Amino acid sequence: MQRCWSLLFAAVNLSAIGLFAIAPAMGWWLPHNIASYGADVDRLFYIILIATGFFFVVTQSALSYFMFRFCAQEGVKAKNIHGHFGLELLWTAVPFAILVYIGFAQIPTWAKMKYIEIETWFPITYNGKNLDPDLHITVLGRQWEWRMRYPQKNIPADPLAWADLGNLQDLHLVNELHAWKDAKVRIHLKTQDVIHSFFLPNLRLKQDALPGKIMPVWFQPIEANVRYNTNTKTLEELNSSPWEIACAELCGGRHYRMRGKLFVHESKQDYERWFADSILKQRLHNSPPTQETLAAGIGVRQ
Amino acid sequence: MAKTPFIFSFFTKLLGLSAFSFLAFILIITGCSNSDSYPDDVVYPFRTDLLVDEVPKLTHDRLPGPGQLDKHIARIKELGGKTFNPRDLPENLRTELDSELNAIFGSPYKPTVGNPTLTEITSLAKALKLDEETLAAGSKLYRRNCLHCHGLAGDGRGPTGPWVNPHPRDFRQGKFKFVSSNPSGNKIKPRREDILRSLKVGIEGTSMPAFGLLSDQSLEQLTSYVVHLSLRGEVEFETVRTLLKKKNAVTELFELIPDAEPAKETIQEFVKLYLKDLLKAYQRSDLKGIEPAVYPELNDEQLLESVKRGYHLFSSSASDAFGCVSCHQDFGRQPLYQYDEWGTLVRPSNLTVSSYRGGRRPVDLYWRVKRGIPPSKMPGVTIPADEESKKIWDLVNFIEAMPFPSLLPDDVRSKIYGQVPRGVASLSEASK
Repeated sequence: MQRCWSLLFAAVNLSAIGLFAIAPAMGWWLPHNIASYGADVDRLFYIILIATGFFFVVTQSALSYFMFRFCAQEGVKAKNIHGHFGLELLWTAVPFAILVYIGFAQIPTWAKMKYIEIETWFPITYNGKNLDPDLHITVLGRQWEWRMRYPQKNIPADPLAWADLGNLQDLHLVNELHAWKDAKVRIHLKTQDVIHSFFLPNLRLKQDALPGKIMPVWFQPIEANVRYNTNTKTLEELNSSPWEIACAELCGGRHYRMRGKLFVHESKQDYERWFADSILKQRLHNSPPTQETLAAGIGVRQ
Repeated sequence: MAKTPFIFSFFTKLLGLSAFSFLAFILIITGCSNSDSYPDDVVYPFRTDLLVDEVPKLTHDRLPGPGQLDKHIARIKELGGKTFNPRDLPENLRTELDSELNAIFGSPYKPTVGNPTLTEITSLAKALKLDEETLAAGSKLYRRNCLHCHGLAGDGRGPTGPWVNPHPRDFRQGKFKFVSSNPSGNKIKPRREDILRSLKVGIEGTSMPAFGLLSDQSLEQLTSYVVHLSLRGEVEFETVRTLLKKKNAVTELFELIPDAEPAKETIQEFVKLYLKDLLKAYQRSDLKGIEPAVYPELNDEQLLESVKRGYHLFSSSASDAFGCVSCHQDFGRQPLYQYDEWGTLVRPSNLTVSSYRGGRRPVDLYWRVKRGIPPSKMPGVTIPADEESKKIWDLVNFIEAMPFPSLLPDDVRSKIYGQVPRGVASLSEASK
């Protein structure tokens, strides 16, 4: 009877391993990578996954087997064991070696995520440079949405002062992050109330926003998902699954509502066309068109 | 060797059983309820909280603590205001009104405006996109997105409602703050696009988030449902208030609609006529917005001059100025809380911060200045039509420049920010 417990543990382990095997086929895997440094992040992820996955299988199989083999039996007395020096040395040395390896292996990737340009010669990084970004955006997290502010002409004269105060001609948007393919985007991340975490799964980017601080974040998308149609004045999505923005820090009751969309335009020109139209809409000095409204009846807009 | 004591095996079994039932429970509650619509036995509750008829003419220097809204409204009477308690309504009038409201406005599951016997109201409602189909879709969206703060009947008292500042809007008085309509007649209602704007970009500086990522169709449906709730609430509010004010005399109700010709003087008849009146007011408002004259293209120098004139309009108490500063004290940096028509405390906006609740487009600011924000006692400006646009644009230019010291003329800047302005950094940016 007692042996049944080992079967339960074995079943749980088997299903966990089975989940590994079928997850990629079911689409439960990493979201599509569009970041310049995304491949490095993914490679690190796989290295760690292989190490932890291997030891998970080994230790859990051993656990299940031992539970089955050495379960309490009638007439058998439990033995006292006082350790094994060689074994203990082994299971200290192996994780130590792995951790040291991971510690060094992540350095270049980490540096790439923090600096816009960096030269690396594994495992040493040098010459880290914060090159001039192509686009500045201020992102303000609040309960519960992301408020984005875009500067006129992409780069403000004094970016840090701009991140703090802004300008009259800025474009204000909520939950919509726009950039273009291959743009080096510098985000000035702020929060109005509590700690939020700005999470862009497709860009492999996650950064906490701390009250009272402006956090620097950067990314460079290498794929586009949207094209601006100047005739219809709408965004045409190029692929079906949206790239999302999320909050990765439980920030209150409606934390799940902090969901936005990432739009990567095909080119700088495309982005600028979209920007010009959007800013025009925001700097509107006359009532929105009403002629068609009157013709079509009531309450129809445009 | 002794067998395992019974008590142990009992506990292990119990543990296994409870783990299993917990998992089953989680699966049941997450997996089975997939519908967004309200249960069909839910009805709109008859109003029970106090009606604010008149607010005290007092200013406060701070807000009551969170969760104190109803307590605060209960105190209005002793502070010199006037409130009525709907519970004082005689039982027969109350049932009569409640059943008529339910007959016309349906339930959260099946919201309506009008019913098959009221052809005129139904067709008016249809023209305002208040048909059954749109409202049913709107009700689902409302339940998912808005209910949490705005409450079942749109009373602004959902579970999170009391804990946010400013309080979520109570739709039940049919009053809206950010309105751009310019209808003939004295009932000023919001245009659909006013409500749509608030939904789409949110209300900056409050807890109202932006729902811009919902589809346009969903936003239209939500707008219709909000109008539905405010129609129901306003009919209820006005009927109850007038009855309580006029010692429960039903005939007095009809003074609210002097133009109507009632067939008989009953509550049912009043509700129908009053609703028709309201629907027409919405229709009129929707058709005609405030149209500013064309904005003059200004060069930098002219803009500075315009800002200067705007400063004069804002801060002078001369007869040719608006004197906004009498309420927006210290350009809004010193809060002075006053009562709005819902009985909550609100303060004039701090205009040195570039955050505008009614929208940040220049035309939004124009509408705010022209129309005012009537429910919160901000008056609109009344000036001769020929100089209206020019003066209001001057004021709007000043308001827009106020948060950015570098955009202000030197003398104006020193008056707002003193000798060492806040935001020195942005000054250096301009001089580069």
